[in-house]
Amino acid sequence: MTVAIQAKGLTRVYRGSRRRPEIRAVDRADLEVQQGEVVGLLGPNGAGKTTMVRVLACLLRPTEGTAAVAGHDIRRSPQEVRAACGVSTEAPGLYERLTAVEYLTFFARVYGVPEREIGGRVKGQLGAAGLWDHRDERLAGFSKGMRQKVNLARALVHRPRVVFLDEPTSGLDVEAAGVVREHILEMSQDADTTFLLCTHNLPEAERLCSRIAVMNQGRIVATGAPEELKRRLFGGGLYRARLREAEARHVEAVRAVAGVEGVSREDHELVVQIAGREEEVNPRVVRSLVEAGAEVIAYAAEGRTLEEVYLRLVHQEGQEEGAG
Amino acid sequence: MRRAWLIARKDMKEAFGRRPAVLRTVVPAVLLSVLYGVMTGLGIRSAAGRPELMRAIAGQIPLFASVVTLLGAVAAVVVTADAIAGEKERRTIETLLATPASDLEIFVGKVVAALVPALGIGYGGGLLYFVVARALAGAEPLPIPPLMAAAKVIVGGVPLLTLMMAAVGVIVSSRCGSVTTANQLSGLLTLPLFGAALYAAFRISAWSPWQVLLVLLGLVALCAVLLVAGAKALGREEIIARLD
Repeated sequence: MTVAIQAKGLTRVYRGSRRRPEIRAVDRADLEVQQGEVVGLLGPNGAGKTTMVRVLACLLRPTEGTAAVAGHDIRRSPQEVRAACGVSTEAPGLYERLTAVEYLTFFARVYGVPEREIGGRVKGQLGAAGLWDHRDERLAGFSKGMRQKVNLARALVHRPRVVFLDEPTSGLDVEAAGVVREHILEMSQDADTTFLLCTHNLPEAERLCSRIAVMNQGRIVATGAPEELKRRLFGGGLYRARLREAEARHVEAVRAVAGVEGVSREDHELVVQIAGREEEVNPRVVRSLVEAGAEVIAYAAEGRTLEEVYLRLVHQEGQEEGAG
Repeated sequence: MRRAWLIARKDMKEAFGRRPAVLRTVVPAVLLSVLYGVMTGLGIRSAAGRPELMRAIAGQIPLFASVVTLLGAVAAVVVTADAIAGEKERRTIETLLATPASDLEIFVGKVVAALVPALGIGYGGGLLYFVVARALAGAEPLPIPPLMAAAKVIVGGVPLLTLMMAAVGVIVSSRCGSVTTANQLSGLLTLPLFGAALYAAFRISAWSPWQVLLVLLGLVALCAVLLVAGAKALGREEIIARLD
């Protein structure tokens, strides 16, 4: 597989002044994203997500460290990196006096799309965004959701190999955010395009991203698929067994099973924390319950949310910082 | 440089789609051109048969012609104030800087976006001035020597001075956080240039061809320096770092 983004020890420091202290916005960040992946960059406000994207998109120079985007070194070939990337910024401004077609045509030309292809690309993007009927209207009259879709179309019109999306649904109402999310989901089906998505919206990240990277205080504190992170942080897995009657002997029976890390009883249910491989441990758990005389009505995985993962990572990092 | 032209075209469309920008640039140029044309034309008509008075009035023609054509340069300052600072205010600058256009292409694009309409306004104003003056001068022809002196300023000096003002304007705009600040600062910085241009227009009749050539070469050199320095001063890095 080809690596689309590879950052090693990436650091960006904003120089301080008499009024403002020096800010280490990105601090020795390592990140590797494969071609075709959709990776979410999560983190609290001020974690350094936007700066990270700006450095990778060659809008800012790194203070230290290196990175390659779409095969080009960000220090040596910034123009090539910019040509290979599409950037959708948070709360973007549009050229309001231009129509949607004029706007996309302008950017397609600046990105060097061959003249004979521009019409088709613009039509394709506006069509996909559901804006073809508004193609000759000035952008000044567009709603917030329509503007965000135009912004996305602009980031994609030159068919970039890497797309950076910074808070693509920020400030949109539920319906508009849903439409934009669907649009991103459709676009991300293309196996050649890599997406790095900065967001605060955890369900959105879980829905759109195959992998996430959590940033805090300029550092990338964890990367992995959401399920993998859940397993890594909360152990092998959490399961809930619903019984007709839950008794102490059932708890003891499950506790005795090899691979079970902990059991607790909540009314008619047992919450089972397993440490081993689920395909080996779970049948043994169910068997032990049946053998202990329990009537098992249901046995299912208890889903940890990405929010729990995120909060644990951010707090863990904060505590380590405090201890350090 | 294809990208520079694309950026220039886009900026011109943006700038002249805004009514205040048109009002602030075109209307004063038209009014002043007509006013100076009336003054010159009626002056020449009333000086018929009085050579002393005719000489005095004719001596003002290069000055009036320079002022009306240089009004385009004022338009350039208005347009360039918006060039980068306006894009920062409207938050469009980041998408432009994220493109593969080089700093030089963006800078030249912004300068050309100011230069083309400025020259259009300037030369349009100049033409209007001569048409009105000629129409009101009656049977008296416009005197040739002052017309030649005005031509030197208009053909040689005005484009170079407008280019310089546009370049200064874009540099200032890239360093300012708001259009208002950029407008005030570039207005302040271009005042001496405007003053020097008027002085040149007043004195040009007395200069030898070599002196005129020397001044023009000096202006060309200054323009080249400003373009190179401007592209370096544009700096994506500084603009983005100051955005938030």
